[in-house]
Amino acid sequence: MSAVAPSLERFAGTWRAGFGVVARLIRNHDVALVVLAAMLGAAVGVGVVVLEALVQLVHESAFAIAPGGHLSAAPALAWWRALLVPAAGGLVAGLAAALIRRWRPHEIVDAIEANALYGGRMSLRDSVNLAFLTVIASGFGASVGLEAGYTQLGAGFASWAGQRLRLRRSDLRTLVGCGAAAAIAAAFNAPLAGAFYAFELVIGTYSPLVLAPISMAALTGALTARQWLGDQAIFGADMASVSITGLDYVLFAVLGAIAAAIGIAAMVGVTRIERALRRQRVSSWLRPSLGGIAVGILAVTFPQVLGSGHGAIQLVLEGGLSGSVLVGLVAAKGLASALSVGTGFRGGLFSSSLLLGSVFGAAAVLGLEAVLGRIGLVPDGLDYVAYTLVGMGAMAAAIIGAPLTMIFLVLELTGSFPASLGVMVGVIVASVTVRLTFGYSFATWRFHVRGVPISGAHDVGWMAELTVETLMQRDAPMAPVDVTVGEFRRRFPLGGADRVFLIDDEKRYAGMVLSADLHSADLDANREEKAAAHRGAVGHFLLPQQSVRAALDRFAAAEADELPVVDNPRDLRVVGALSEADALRRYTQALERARAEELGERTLFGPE
Amino acid sequence: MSAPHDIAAQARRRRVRRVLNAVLLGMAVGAYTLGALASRVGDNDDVLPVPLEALLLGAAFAFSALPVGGAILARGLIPIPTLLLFLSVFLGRTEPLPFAAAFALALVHAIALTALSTTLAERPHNALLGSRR
Repeated sequence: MSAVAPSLERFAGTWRAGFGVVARLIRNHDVALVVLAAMLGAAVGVGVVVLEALVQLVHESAFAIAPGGHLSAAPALAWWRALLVPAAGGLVAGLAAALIRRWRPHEIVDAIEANALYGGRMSLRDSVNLAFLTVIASGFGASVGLEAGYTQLGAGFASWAGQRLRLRRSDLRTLVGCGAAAAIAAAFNAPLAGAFYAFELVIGTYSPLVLAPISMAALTGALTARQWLGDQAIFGADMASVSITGLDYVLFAVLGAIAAAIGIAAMVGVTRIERALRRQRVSSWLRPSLGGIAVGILAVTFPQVLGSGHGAIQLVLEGGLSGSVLVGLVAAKGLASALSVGTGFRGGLFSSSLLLGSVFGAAAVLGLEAVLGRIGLVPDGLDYVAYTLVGMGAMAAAIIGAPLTMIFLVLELTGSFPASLGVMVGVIVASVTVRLTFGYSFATWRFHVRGVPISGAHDVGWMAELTVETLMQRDAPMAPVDVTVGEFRRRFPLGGADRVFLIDDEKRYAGMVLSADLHSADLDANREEKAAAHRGAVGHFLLPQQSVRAALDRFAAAEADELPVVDNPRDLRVVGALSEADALRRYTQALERARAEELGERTLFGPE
Repeated sequence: MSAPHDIAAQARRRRVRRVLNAVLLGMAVGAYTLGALASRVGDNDDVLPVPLEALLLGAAFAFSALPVGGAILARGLIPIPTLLLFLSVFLGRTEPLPFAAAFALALVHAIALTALSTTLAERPHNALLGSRR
């Protein structure tokens, strides 16, 4: 035993030293960060394969579908399984979520929130929990996609690794993006879409510095997943004879606008359902089972609403559903997704929006063909697959809020440039319509409803950290409120403090005087006058925990260059002072640093 | 405190929103019914053409969800046609449901649509006027 202990200690020491070298290497060399991103991407790819296999296992056992088959395209699903399994899954999901909440009673921070507010810091344990809940939800047929679980696990794992390596804030944010990019790339076998998902949603911007690590992570994630899932596109479509005319582009734009309206309705629907259940005081652990019952009832008529819907998307692309069924499926899938997320099943709307959009596009093309064909406007008919893809991209862009991701996703899935150009039109119109009329994607809408003050993944966490307490000067000059002008002049000669804060007998803030005013020659004859007669900014003060932005607003409201910082609004004890110039300077410095980090530079200005 | 003209404008906007909600949900109900009826196989002895049946049910739902006096009549008309239509859906599938299950599910649809239209047609509570409720 005694011989083993020193060698163990030696090993631990060597390990720590080696780890330190690696950490320093990654902190100091961009190439090392790219290598780390590639390794993390491969690991996330494996994670995606494992989660997908788990969900498939649950599908095959709970719904008795054929091995390797898709739940949403199962040819002969027993009606009682479609009805009961989601309800049972809801019960399991509700109880599991309640247990987890008891153990970790806080909101789980996702990749976007982590990058916006916490400098990329995520909890690996929370991420694993959320991925587990997503597997339950999707496995038991709730109408949600697994992508939220994939990205949470990928980003959480990457963040955990970055925190262990004590990476810089900007590098940690990049790694979170790498995890999410690898997850999406692996899930859809689409590295470009994965990378742009990270740029648009998780990093919030594109810069040369983040290009290499994120692209590399997306690439290794997709390549790793291909080892198990095969290298074919997850949706196959006959793109050989895609023909798009000028009229089609006009119709794509109209489709994009309608898809945006349906997308907004689905996003608002989720919130309405949540609010209705809260009003009925239904316990949170019971809500998913109610959602499961409702989804089960819908699934008896439309089994395509079950699960993420990848099988149903393929069915729609192959033209396997009639026009009337497609129309019904738009309503059923929208309702099922809103019910699933609104009642508390964990999961996202990525896949759901793809299915909803493809069904909408297919229904629209059949309807348009019938109407326009009758008046002879489209003698050769319309391209079914192209319209289906446009609907898919436009709806997903409206709900997910990542237009480029959707264009690249379609390009990678189909390999068709003409179809991608059409999708681009629909996606742009849908994105602009949502931005102008609603202003949120599903993720930012959820933040808005929760009261989280962010509109995307842009790093605003530093602003919350830049508080009045961190900026103020602690030795604020003070004088009693009943001090005379003469006494004031003795205590604060010219050239000393510019401003002095007056305090009453109970040490409460009672106003502010300017030294220059009290040293004015006009007051030479009135040295016994109270200094308080010349005070200003009474009732205007700052609090230590206020953010720098709130402080700047207070300066404007008080029309003062400097304000006291008091401990709290009741006691009004002066603990420091802050000038507007200092606040502005620090705010500008921090803003410049944040912007430079986003652009991947050390400073916004080049060498002189 | 809002000025009186603001309150009137708010009330008008609220009314428009409620009408719009009712119409949109009516369209969704019509679409859902159309899809469900189209999923049947064989001849189902429909009284009207299938699209018209779906359209009428959607329109009846939309009207019954409006906050107007006559909506109660439409609400009284919804349950029976809904029950019959969805009974035919569940019994007319490639693999029909047992009658009891089909009846129960059709009844759930009828109750759900009626309850939803009743909720939507309710007049605003105090909460909408800015009280603490």
